[in-house]
Amino acid sequence: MRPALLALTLALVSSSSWAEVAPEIAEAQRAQMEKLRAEVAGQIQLQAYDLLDELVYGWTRQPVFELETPVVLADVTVPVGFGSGLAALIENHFAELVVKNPRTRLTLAHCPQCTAVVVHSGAKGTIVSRGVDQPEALATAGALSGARHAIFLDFEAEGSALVLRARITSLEPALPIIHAKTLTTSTSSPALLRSGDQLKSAAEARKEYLDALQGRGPVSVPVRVAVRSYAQSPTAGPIAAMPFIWLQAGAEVALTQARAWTGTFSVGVTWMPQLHTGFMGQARISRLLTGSVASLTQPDLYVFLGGSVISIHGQGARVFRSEVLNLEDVLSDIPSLLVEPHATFAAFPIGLELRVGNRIAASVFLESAPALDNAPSIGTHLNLLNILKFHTVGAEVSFAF
Amino acid sequence: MTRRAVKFGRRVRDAGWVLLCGALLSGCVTTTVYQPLSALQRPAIVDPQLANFEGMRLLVRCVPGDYIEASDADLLCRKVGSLFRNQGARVETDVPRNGRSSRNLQEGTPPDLVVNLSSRLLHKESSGPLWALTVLTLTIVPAYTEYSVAQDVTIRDSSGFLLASDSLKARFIEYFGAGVWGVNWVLDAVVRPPEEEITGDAAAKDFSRDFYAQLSQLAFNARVRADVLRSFEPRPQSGSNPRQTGAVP
Amino acid sequence: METLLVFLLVQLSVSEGRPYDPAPGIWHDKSEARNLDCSRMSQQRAHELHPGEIPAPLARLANQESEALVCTRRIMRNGERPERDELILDSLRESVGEIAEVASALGPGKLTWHVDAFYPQPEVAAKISVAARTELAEQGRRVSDKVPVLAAGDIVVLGRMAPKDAYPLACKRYFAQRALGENDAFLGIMLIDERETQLHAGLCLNGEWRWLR
Repeated sequence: MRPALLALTLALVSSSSWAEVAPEIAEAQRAQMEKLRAEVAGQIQLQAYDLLDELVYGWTRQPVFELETPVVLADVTVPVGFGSGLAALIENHFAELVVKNPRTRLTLAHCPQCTAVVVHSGAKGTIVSRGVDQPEALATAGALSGARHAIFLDFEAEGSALVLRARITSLEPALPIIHAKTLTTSTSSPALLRSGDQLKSAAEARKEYLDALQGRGPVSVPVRVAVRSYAQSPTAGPIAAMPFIWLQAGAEVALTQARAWTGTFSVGVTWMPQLHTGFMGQARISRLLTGSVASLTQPDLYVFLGGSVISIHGQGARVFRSEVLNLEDVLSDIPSLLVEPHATFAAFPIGLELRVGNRIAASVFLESAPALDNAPSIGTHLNLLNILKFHTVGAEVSFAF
Repeated sequence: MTRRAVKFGRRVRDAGWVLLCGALLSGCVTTTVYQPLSALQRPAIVDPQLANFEGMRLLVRCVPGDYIEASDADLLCRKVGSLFRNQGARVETDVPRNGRSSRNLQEGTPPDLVVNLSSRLLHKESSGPLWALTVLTLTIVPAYTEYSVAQDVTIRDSSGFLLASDSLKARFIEYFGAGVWGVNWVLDAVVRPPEEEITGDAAAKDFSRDFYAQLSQLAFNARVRADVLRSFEPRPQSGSNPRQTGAVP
Repeated sequence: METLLVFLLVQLSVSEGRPYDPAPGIWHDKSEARNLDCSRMSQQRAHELHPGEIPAPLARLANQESEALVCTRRIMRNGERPERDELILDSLRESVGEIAEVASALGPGKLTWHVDAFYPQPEVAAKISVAARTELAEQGRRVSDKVPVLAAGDIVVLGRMAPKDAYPLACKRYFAQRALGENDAFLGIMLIDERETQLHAGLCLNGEWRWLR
């Protein structure tokens, strides 16, 4: 067999394949791009905060200065393509961290001239630049507020990683860098918002994350409220099944640590005054569709398949029986009317369940009850090749404890 | 119409059905999906339709191995050779057999760049039971075979100094089944824009475009790096004058 | 209608009913797949790196080496930034790390390092020089945030020259004008050709320019 790569490589060397790629971004795409960019900014803001947390945590463990030292936050640059709004958020978070963590031995000093463009005329000529690039000019103007050091924070998006480059420069004419640190999300812990006054190391944050993942106990207790609606047969007379409301409770077991497979056993009850009382036992198995591990933060979609035994007692059970009483039956066999009717049958649900945080869920399902094929009052919602008939549609809301 | 003509017509119709079934069970029921894994999806700046290697001599060496046989490597080399020829280079190709190169670099005029290509199969996955189910259901239940491959590229100068290297990795999933082909064909016809189509030779076109673009970009980078490391001294044979831009101090 | 429904359900469930598979198909389009960087690794390693997304290999399959395809979404999608800027920034850590390593090897001793980048887009140039300064400082070099400047007349003349002549001459002028002294090293990082996607570097020591890569 010819290798797939080669077979494809040999497809063409025509220049036409390049012609299909339009380098220009169409005007219509720009709005979409802006929306996407705002979305990305929201995502990288959390990552940027995480990197700042890690940076400041490092300074609390190994302070750059021996004594408390005033510093100027000279510049915060965000990834190329992002606006100054993100820089302002980062600046605020950094200031909050420094204030809440005095062990860094840093005190933020106010120096608006440091980031402003200043013009300095001297023996070598006139120089126009940022204030921090001309410390002698700032010192002359007395603008440094006692600070002799400047912090620069630079964020850049490099592939799938956000990189923070932090440096502290001494504000003397030679502008020596006295401390530099590069941090990247590709090596740090998974993004976790740590509280500003209780910073953790990357290793501790990772452990906390793992604990959170593993702390999801294997067994939970779901309580469900379900509505089952039975299809009405087109040939049925005046008797039709009304929707049944069920209350179910049981136990759910995660079959794998990732909660990709779960099994549930539950019992249920339904009651309608003067009409019916019903009981149910149900087992179902669920498979996660959205990923291979249940998410801590995103909704999860499961598909489930199950088996139930349903028993209905009371007048409401007549619709599930194979014989329909007509007037002659009633008149000829009045004693049988005094006996409470009941119906017991098996049902097999298949459905989709959307769970949020493994606590609240909503699901829809179809249920096939082969025994109801003979019930003249019950029709089918969906008939697949006359092999599989779904008699019931239903919806559930679940709460897990 | 005679009885013979009717019989002939019936045979033609039967043959048509056989051909249709054959086609359904072979080529057209295969849907190949291409996914660039690393490096291949990077944008390329260099335009492979321009004379980027005018006057340069390139040696393209395609190394056969466990994944690519010598005859296939030869074919690959010829195609890649055409790619660089289209960009103005004089190209020689070389397919080493039994570990021995057919081209001696010491003989004749040395090439400006030596492009080495070798392929590796990183991963292959296919499910036997699924194939059985596919056959039993007349391909309504599709089967699939998945490949992940790497095309390693190294570009050196004639002295063997490494100028550029990369590993272009791709993943191919070959779905086999009339059903999956049909679903994708409908989506291609109704929903997907042309650049998002999956059926037909879309995978081949996409991979070829990425592969040739990255190869051209790598070779161009190697060319400029060679110029820089030579301190922009002219190449012995070339009279080309690279376009130079960029800010200066 | 029902037959068609069965048919579609079979296709979805068996062939492409894997919404977490990043390959283009029913669930993902091609452009989305091109915004991912993917690599193959053992499932155990993948679980260590992404415990929330990839389950641990099953104990009963411990003898079998199972693999995982790990894909991470690029922060900046294709087309959000100019292509060359994206390529340069994408590999910034790697390229600047290589340049700093070579430069450090060639400029030993107690030199004060100055770094500047020459790139058409000023904001990208600033990113490159910051990355190089940080890298050198992390390697323990004495690095200055100050960028040596030349007189306006020099800049005008150098701006008209080709890079092969401009950088060596600029280096001489830095030294002649005492913008750089004997204990200073200047690392210049630049793009030479508008069609390339790599950074080059040169080192200026005592008025002598040397191309590094």
